[in-house]
Amino acid sequence: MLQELRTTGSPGITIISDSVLLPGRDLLLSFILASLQRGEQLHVIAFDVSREDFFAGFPGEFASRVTFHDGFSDPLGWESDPSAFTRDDFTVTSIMKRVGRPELPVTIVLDSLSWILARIPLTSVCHTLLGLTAAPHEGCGKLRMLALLHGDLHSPALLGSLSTVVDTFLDVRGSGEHLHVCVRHRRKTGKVISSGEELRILDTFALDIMMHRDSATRKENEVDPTKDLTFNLRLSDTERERKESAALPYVFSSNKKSSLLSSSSSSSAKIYYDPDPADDVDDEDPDDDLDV
Amino acid sequence: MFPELNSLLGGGTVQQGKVTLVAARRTDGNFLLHHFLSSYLRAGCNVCFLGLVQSFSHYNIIAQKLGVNLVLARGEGRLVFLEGLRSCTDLLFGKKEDGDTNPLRFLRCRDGSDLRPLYDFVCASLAPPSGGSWRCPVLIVDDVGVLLSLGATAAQVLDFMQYCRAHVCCKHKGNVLCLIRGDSEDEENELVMKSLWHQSNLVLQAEGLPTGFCKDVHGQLTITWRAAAAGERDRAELYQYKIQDKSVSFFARGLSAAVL
Repeated sequence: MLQELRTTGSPGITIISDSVLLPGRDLLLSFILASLQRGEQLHVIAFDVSREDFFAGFPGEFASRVTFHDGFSDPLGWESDPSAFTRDDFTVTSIMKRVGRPELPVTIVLDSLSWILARIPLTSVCHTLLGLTAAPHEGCGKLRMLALLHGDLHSPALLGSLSTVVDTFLDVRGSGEHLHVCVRHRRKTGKVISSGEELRILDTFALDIMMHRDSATRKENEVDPTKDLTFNLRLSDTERERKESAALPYVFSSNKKSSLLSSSSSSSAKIYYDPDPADDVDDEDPDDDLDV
Repeated sequence: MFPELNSLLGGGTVQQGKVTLVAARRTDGNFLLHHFLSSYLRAGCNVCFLGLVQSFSHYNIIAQKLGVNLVLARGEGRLVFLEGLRSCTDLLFGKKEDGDTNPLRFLRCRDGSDLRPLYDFVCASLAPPSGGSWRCPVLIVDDVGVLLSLGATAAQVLDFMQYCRAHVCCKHKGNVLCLIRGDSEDEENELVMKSLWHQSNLVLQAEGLPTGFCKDVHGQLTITWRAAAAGERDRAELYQYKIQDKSVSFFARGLSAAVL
């Protein structure tokens, strides 16, 4: 699924969550290059890295097609640099002003979202992200958003809230030589698909998927607990008919009642009494033997 | 300067535009700081040292052991030393007028004032001389966590460090080195440490031995070279060390001379 998301472009907001030991910057770059290969216009808003650091190792033929907004050098306006992207510029209006009215589809890259989340409340950040991506904008249609997030700098509660807001959440976990990425993607219909993929990033920044395991595959691999039962949980039609027609022995149905009544009327009942010869029955005092 | 550490780090201490983080957990990582301070001064760099933990004489005594005279360097203008302990007491107990120029004057404000005065001090200290020869500027902070203890928030400390990176590393192609002592119980301290880790090019993590105190092995050092460009991967090496009077010896895990 990761390959598909990369090639076709995930709609809405995509977040790549990494940590100190497992950096996700190469995966971000892979998605950036895929976006450029699709012919999209790319705007990078960088708070974590300088322009030189961002373009270090970036393929030269694509660098000229990236519009870089410098949020690193003067994010708080201390240097009064008019070209700097400051914390206060992180609004829908300000970003759309910088994006303008391009002819091509636009992808905005945030490097990183953690910087913004440390300085702006989560609700405002979510409003801005959704404001940018949810509705088409006049003159440039719908935007895509791609953000790097340092997951180890935030609480699990914040990450959980964020993952419900965004469309695609890629969690870089990794082990050994290969990266292990947990993908959680929400389709237009609202259906959420999750999968785990093991991959390596090639020198060309293409993805080489080594192992793919999605939720459907997991279901197939799961053992059916009803498989080896000694009794049957389901009934066939004939079995159901037989079951319904069978009369239970202790249920007093109307049929049973009538059959009992008819049998009692046809045959006459009689009580035979055979007194014990040792009994001494006194007709005048029947309770004589009680010794009262 | 410790030659063994220099060779482990691949030779030259001075690399253009690099950020080095020294993280110390359950041990004292000051020997790394003294190594870098003496290395930078020997290499002829202009150093701004924000000493928030110890007095100037403390650093000077150790630097003399390593063959560097801080008093001389300060006299020649190659070292600007901010003595945090003295600045704090001057600010809190001195005249009010003097406090208006104190780099740590954010201490007086209780309205969440930022660390801009401290940043202005760093810029002024590392400003290129008008006629003299220009050398690589270096900022050393000992230790970043103290700013948190003084009342600054994690975001303010990180903003300060980001501006220092932008000014020293990007604008003047110098070096920034900061030390932070790890404390897993202090959430803000951990947040600052991890954030700085994300931004560093080289991370030296000194830790006490997980098995406890040992007379012949004083701790272990993990050196992490972070990916410098896209397509590269982080590389880490682990050594154990023993601090001696004027040097530090490094060896692979379990290969201490006392064991073999």
